[in-house]
Amino acid sequence: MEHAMTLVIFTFLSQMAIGAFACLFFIDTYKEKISERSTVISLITILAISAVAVVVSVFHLGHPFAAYRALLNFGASWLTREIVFFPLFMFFVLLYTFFAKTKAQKQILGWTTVVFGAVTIFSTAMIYTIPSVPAWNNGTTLAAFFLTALLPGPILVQLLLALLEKRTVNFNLYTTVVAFLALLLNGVTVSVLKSGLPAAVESAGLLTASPLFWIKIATLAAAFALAGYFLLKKKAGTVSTVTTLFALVIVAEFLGRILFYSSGVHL
Amino acid sequence: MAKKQKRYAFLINLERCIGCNACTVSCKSFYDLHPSINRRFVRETSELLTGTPKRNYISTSCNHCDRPACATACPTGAYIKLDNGIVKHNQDRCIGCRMCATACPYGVPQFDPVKKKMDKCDMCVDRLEAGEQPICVVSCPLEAIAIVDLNEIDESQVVADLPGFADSSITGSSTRFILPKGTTVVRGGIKSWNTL
Ligand code: SF4
Ligand code: SF4
Ligand code: SF4
Repeated sequence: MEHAMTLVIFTFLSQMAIGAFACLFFIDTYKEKISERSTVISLITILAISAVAVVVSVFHLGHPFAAYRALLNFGASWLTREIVFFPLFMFFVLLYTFFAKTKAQKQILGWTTVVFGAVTIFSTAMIYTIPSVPAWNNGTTLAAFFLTALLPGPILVQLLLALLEKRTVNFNLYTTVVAFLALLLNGVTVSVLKSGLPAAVESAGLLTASPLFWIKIATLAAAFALAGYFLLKKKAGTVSTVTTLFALVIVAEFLGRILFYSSGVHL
Repeated sequence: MAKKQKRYAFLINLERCIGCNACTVSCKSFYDLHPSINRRFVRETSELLTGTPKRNYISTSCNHCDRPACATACPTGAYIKLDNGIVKHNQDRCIGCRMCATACPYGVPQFDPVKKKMDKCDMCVDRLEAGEQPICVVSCPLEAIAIVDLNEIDESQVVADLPGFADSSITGSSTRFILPKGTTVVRGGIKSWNTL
């Protein structure tokens, strides 16, 4: 799939942005005080990442300037639904950035944004949950897409806050658990594929024969170990710890998405 | 009594097909398709369809499915299932996202690198409406391709599934095949190998 790199970038960045917003919203509204400056800069970063995702995705089309026509099949096409919901997510991030002042406003706008984000990820996963590619036609697609939101997203927020506020919000328990789930999902995916149709078995072979798969496993394991170490030590970690964690999960999830497309054997 | 709406489908006779590719080439030439794309493909299929080794060919194009995955996937609604069974692609709507090619279990829609849009067989619907047969049908020297009405066909004489052809129940493929007959002629080479 030579044209798949635009899809790799779009799905990865959009899901990370959605996860990052959800995390920032929870911290901002329910957990602890973040300065307005840090919140706004973080939200604008999330919007910028989302905008890059949209621009890249348009270049996947043969006719980028006719992209608006992709809105025409909302009743049947998950791709149309994704194309409707992701800009709605972005619009509500914008509203949250500039209009959510009170806790009630933050809750209403924040939850609406999170719901649009979650529906976007669900729609993206449904685009690929299709019988023509047996490796994708199961729950691992949905799980993998949500994990891309849940793993790099919050660590991006952690990194932004570490850089902007010069303090590390302690996510170690969360990161350890989610990195473990991400590791587990790889094992589950390979075993699901191996017990599937011949095309899925072929996908499992392509996956495990790829060095990228093992680099992904190694980076996820390293992220799990690093977050676990600081969890046991009961320390939040430094800016460099968070930067390392972010780099590890970015590499793992990005490689995972490349592998998703490259190992999807058609019937 | 009102006349029952026809449900057009391809009937491919494997007993007749010799793999000459006349269908592929005539379609490509008639529609002036880009060199990299075809609307019809001929390939060799299992030699053991009948139990005895025999070379078999299968000619396929769009299967004009009852539940077309291309139409469900397409974000622009470029595909429509006509009442006569034909799944038609409207190139004016297409934006070249290629989602239909991914979703079709048969990988039928092809990307035209010049138009930057998809292309697929429309069962020569304009010719059918004018009372003519599709180009691939008329060009086959063995008359191995026919257009049939699924309401009229005797389903006990045909099959919808073949080895190497995606399960017809996924999208309700309308293509039907006549299986090759068994043969008593065993190739000399194979026989002599066996008796060595
Ligand atoms: S064969 Fe593929 S392109 Fe043709 S109607 Fe069926 S799903 Fe659509
Ligand atoms: S390539 Fe064209 S026909 Fe195919 S899904 Fe995209 S817009 Fe629809
Ligand atoms: S029916 Fe027409 S468009 Fe379809 S394969 Fe035959 S010649 Fe080509």
